[in-house]
Amino acid sequence: MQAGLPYWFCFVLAVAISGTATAQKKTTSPKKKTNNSVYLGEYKPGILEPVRQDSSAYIQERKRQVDSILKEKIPVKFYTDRNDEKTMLAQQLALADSLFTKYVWEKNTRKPLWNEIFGVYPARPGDLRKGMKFLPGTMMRVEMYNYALNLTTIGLVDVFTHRLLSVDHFPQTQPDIPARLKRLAVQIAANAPEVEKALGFKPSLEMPVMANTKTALNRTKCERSRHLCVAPTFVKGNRALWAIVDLTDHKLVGLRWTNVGKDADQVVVTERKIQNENIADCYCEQVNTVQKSNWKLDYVLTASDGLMVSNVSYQSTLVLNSAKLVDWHVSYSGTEGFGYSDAVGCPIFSQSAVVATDPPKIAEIVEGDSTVGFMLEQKFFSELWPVACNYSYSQRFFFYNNGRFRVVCASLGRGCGNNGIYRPVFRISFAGNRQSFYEWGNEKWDQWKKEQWQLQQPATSYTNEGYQYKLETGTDKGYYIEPGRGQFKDSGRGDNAYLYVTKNHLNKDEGEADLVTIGPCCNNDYQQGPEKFIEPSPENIANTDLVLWYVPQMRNDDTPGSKYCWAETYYEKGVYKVRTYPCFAGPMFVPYDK
Amino acid sequence: MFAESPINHHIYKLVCMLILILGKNVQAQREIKPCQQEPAFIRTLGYDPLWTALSTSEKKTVGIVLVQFEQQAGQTAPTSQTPQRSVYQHPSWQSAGYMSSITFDKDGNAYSIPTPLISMLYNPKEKLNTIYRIDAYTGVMKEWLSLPYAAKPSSGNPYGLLGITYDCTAGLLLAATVSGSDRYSEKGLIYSIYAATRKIADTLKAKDAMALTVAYDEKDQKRLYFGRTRTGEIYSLPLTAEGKFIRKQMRKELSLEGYGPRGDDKARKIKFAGGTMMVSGVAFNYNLQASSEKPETNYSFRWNNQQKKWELYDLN
Repeated sequence: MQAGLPYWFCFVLAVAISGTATAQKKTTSPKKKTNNSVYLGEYKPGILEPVRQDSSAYIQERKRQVDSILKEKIPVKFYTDRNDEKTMLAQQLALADSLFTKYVWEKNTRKPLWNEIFGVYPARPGDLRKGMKFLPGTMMRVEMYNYALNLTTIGLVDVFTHRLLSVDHFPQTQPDIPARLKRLAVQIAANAPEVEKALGFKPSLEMPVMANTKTALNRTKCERSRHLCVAPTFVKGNRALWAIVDLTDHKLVGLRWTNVGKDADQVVVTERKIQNENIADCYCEQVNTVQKSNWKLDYVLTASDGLMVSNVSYQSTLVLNSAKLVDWHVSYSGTEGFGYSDAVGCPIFSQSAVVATDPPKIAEIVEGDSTVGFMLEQKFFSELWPVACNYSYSQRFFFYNNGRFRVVCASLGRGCGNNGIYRPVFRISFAGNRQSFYEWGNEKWDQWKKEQWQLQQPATSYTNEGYQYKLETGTDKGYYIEPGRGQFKDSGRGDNAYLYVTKNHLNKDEGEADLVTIGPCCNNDYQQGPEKFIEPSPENIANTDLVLWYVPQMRNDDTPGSKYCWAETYYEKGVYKVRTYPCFAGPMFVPYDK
Repeated sequence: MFAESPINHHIYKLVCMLILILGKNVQAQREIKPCQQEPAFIRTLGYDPLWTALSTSEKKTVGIVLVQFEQQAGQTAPTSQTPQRSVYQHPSWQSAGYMSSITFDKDGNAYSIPTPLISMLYNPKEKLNTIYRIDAYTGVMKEWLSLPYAAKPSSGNPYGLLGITYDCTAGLLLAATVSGSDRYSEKGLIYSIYAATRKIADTLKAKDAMALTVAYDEKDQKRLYFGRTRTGEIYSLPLTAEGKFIRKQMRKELSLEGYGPRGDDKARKIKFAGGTMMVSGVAFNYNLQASSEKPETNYSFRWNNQQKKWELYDLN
């Protein structure tokens, strides 16, 4: 088991996130897998739908406690595992001091943050500082955790003199958790269907052997979410199943098998490791297939070209060889030539600067009461997003029951400033070898004879239906191309896109394989990269294999009321959450067959 | 409390004496006395070497720059808080793309390695295993030595050279490359090179590493310490005066696993000072991910001679 990723580990995940989609796997790498993890990434809130709510009684009770604490004068839950006089007094003394409570409220607004005292102990020799004077047994150490800031505050209190002798605040640090939180973590893990599936039976609440040990709790981290996480660990035979539980969001984050043995205590299982291994195992090294709504296609995460769909067919007719997102060019007008060329893709062993941390999602497209197709989406994140100068992107493919499809992406902010322009570069390779390309102008379709590019502008002509181009794939059939002009009801404000058409050479690679960075960040004209396959001698593109390159341009905005390509944190019930203002762009392809 | 009691006071004195006695027989790991010279071209350009630094970390500039700091009243040398006064870049310092890690030799020549930042645009794959040198006198940067690949960089691993350091005792450059390594095979190489002749003295195979430093161990033996990029472990092995690695005496020094805010840091830099091993740890996952603040944690370890192991005593 340890030597190979079990098929069902990826399958469990696919079912968990994909709704009713039919998913199959094709392994792209013949190499043996060494990891054994599953990440239960819920879809991050903000775009499509809310996070799944857990209705378990113990979760609801916990949430009620939090709500209640936030209404207190000092929003701190007391440590109640022991309620002797010294323990209670130490907490009261600590909380009476403004240095100790410095971070329990939001700095500017004084909104209450969610805090909890995790432990009160006799001070350790290492806690004592030179010059501290006190009677034996009177010095207590009070440890408090701030869920919103992921910060630990430690105070030393003399319960005899009623004085707080020292206070330290430790960002990105968690103290040992109290017994009641251990019980909660075990409840969440033991009741998770994913744990039952992994073990082959539903574990009892008494079964985790490591939840109460310091080792397991201390050597587990949620370094991406920066939440409080612990790992109840279920031992089965000579293996241990780590169940990472997020006690800030009250949910299971992921599972990982490890061997029990001599060096087992040196293994560290963390959120990021589980996420990375799962994405690499299940989506970078395996090609997945979805068959749904008359469509069939493969999808895989690339090393630097985002999520790629390939062998896309509609009603058994091949439509696309492939479609992918080659680069994101981000330039800032405030500083000449300042910006980035971000590749998106796999989280490890890749050329990606912004990486996939959650699995791709398949969701139904619902219009009115009807399901009219399905969507495949992949999101990418920088580690510290939405902190300034960090990025998140979304890539979407919409497939409709009637044969239409749309290739879409969005920036989810936040970037390095409010004067940024995002230019994603799509590569879309159509199937077949008798294609011709046309542009609408002067009330008729004008054929492009040679490789070239065009910019969508305010003066651009469209058909009555909004089509700017058409791609003919055979006699009197093909696809109309409808660029974004704000009509897709996804908050997009128009694509302002460059479109390039190049010949798809069968004897040389012009972007079919993973492309290293195709162009610089900061060109403000057509030189976004695809032009290198056109210049200096454009080739004939009539009745041949074609590749479309589509480069929309989205300008970010942080103006209240019209935020775009933007993200920000906001306060909610004692913690901080993320709100996004995506700027979606991308063309719709509408089939025609006269 | 401890020092207030007379009995405890005697125990305290006893412990201090014991430490002194033991200290005579215990040699902690220690740094090698630095021999590096300042590059002469800095003065030629009219700068004070004490108030300048070569940097590869200027966000908006590709390559290496010479940063001149504001001289502050009451300060004898710049600190991390000292504001910049100006930035100089010789045209040749951009030629290798983004770079990382600079080391100097005893003559003031500066050696650096190309490392892609965020994208591959400025760092051609075929140059990722090439060491560049800035001449101490002319200030011109040129390719110095192209090291052999175990395997060429691929889309699955954008990196080549990741670490470089200079051994003052033997005039050796130590350089680590991860070129060609992938998720399932560790193909990294650590080279020992004579700086004077550019001759490779030895090659340690199948080790992906970033942080490199040379120091004396507890037995006064010179060792190469290297931070592995797959596990967060720091290993070491003896290095002879001839630049040969003594592989049979390779040992694990410590691991960063589980420590710090991220828990999966890899060593970017290792430094010895006053019996302390200081390790700068960063996240590294063989991708081009870079965050705005490049979170880095500095771990300080002390050698526990009784238990023969490193103990973490501080991190920030």
